[in-house]
Amino acid sequence: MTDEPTPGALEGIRVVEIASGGAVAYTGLLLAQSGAEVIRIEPPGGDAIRRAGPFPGDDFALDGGGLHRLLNGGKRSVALDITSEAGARFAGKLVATSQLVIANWQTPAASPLPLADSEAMAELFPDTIYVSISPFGRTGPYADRKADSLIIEGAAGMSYVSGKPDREPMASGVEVAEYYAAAMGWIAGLAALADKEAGVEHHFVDVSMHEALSAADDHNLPVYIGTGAIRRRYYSRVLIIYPSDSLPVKDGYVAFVLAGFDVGGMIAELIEEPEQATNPIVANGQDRLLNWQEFDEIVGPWMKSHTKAEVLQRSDEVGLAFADVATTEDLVNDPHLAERDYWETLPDGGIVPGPTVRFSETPLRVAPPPDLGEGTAELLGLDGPAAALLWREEV
Amino acid sequence: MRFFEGLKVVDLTQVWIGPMMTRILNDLGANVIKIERTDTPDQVRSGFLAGNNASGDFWNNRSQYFAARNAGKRAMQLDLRSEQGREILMQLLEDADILAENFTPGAIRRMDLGYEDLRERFPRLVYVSMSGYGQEGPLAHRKAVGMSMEPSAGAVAVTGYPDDDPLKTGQTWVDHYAGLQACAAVITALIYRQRSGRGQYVDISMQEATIPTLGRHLADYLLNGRVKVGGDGNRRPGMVRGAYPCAGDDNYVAISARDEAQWIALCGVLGSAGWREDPRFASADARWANHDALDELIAAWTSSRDKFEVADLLQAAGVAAGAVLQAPEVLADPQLAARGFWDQLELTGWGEVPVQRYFSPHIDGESFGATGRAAHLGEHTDELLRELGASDEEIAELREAGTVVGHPVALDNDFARDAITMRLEPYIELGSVLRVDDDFRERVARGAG
Repeated sequence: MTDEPTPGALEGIRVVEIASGGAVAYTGLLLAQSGAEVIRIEPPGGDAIRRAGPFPGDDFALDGGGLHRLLNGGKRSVALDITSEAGARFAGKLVATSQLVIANWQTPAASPLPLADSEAMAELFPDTIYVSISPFGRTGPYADRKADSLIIEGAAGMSYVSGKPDREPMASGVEVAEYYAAAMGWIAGLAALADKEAGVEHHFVDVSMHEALSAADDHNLPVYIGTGAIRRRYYSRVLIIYPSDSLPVKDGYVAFVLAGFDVGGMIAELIEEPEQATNPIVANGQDRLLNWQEFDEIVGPWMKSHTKAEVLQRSDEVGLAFADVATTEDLVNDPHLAERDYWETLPDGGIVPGPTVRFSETPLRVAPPPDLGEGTAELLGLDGPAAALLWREEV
Repeated sequence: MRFFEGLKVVDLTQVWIGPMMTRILNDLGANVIKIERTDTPDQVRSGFLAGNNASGDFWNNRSQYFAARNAGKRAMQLDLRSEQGREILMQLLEDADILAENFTPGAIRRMDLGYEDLRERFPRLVYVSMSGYGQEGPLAHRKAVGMSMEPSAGAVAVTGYPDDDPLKTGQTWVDHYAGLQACAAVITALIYRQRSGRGQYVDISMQEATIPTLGRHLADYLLNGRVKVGGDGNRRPGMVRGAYPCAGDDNYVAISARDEAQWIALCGVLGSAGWREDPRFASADARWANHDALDELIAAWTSSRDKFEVADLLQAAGVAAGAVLQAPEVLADPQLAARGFWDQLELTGWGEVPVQRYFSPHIDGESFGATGRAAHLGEHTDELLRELGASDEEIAELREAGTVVGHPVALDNDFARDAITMRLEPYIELGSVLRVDDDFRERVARGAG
């Protein structure tokens, strides 16, 4: 991105985020990157994201945690104990001046701010849209259940098809349900805002992490609905395609992903064994799938005798969709991402991911995260000593 | 008038990321026109057909997979390479608000339909391109599908069982996730347009959209230079977390005790009094170091019990837990049913089937489902041409010339072939299918009814 100031698409929109977990924070981040003023209300001791590692050098740092840097860039921070009368009153003042408030319904348990009562919130803050992001949504028999990504991946039918056939179902290594919920919160918050700008009143947006991830079913449901077959985990493979696995190469792994027509011809060309183009175990999808060990023996030696770079270049040439099984280090040093100026350097020299989506007119802006409570005095209209008193009182 | 009502979307997308995105806009009230090429219609029309063996007519709404991504849209075919076809596209764009495409980068520019070709004529247009690696850069032209983007965005390297090789998840999730990002980006651009009068171009790279999900793994590399290769399985540092076997056929319960209070509650439900006194489990660090031993004890308790009952007991005690669901159990889930998550939509020649809602949030008690079944190939071609002012004669001429009608190409790739003539027995033998329910149609009707 250039240094020229660019308009933010959401300039003038104020968002209050009641700090409560990854999904809420990521929704707030995405809005902040579009130019909204996002104010995090955190407990005086800092919220859970600040307290979660990793930390630089593994030394705890309230303002320096890794997730805090990734999730809270460009926001303001107000330190308030919203379970106290005074804290809730000041938080209410901020909420009343904002267009959106985002919170995880389930925390905090006890606050005079009626976060668990959408009707009371609407009455107190008639001009503010309340976006709740909770594990199962605010209605239905599971409304008050607890869940994290592991539980949601299980409920959404994702874990059951993930993993090896002789082992337990496996969760993703990234907290996929949290990010799905954040993306859904982003969409729903924007949709309600857009509607409001068009003159339609809205008060309460109820986002369910469970539904957000359940909607992302790939082929478990069509297969069952259409044939009665229950798909189960088998090296996490797609039911009717082999391979899509990460196969070992000389210096790591490459995802062997197919694309296009005449796959057999392309694989034979890739491994420089033209006679394999007509071998059913190479050319025919179901033969590949049912005899995958044999298939691996055919392509394995070629894969293992070439580097990632060589394998990917060959795949590009023949028209397959191979991909790097990229590590974090690979990504940070990736020439393609460098050419696209993806990674951003913060003023302190640290690196963070750049924009997740690219706008030609209103590019997302990446900024450093706030120190705890940096905005308490300014945003509440208090002078320094009064803010400090408030702070102490709440601690 | 609500914001999305009256918005018109010209939808050139296919497969997953794009159709998912435009279906959300459709369900929120936009008028979405799905345009399929005359030479290759949306390939997933033939994906996982109901009945498993459609006799030739596989393009016409036979697939729940296609229906989920395209419910409610109107569909027409258009030969974008012909002069007349392009002229029709221009007419459609006259009052359009959004153009969405997910061709391989470069393809649409080669047809002279890139943003630069259109922006002057349609300055209010929000034009969104979705691709694996973005529109520019050395890898822009690399072939990309969802299965290749989970590894290339870094998610596979950090997924897998502990002390094992990286392994992807069984649910290709990056397509859908990046499509949600695209949808939010489009709404953001529409809000900006409402304020400024200006459209803009949006470039979605599935890779870039997904990298932030690496979260703590990414932070640990950026702060400490540690590179994670291989996953933690179901475990997370500081927590007691896993999927444990239960009674019945391949049943599991997922348990996640995140802190000391939940650990104590977990012990209260299923631990013998000894667990809390056992030095191996005396602290979060100790439990992490002895997770294998703890898992054995937990599994010994769960393995004879019903997974739903275990989840209920733990939830009642305040511990996050839930049954690991198989497909028919997802369809029968009481929470999804209570929230109206399923629409019943007709598949041609088959009957109604449940279709999930892609925009699932409730807004002031209102929810937003599909506006109708998925269209047959070219079902609304004549209707849409008439709306553009074409006469019956002109429509007949366009049909004659092949501008608005094409025959599906022979399905020559493995995916399509196997999806249509799927024989299930080999998969049961292989182990990738648990079983086939003979009474699945009743179960589906009962479960998601």
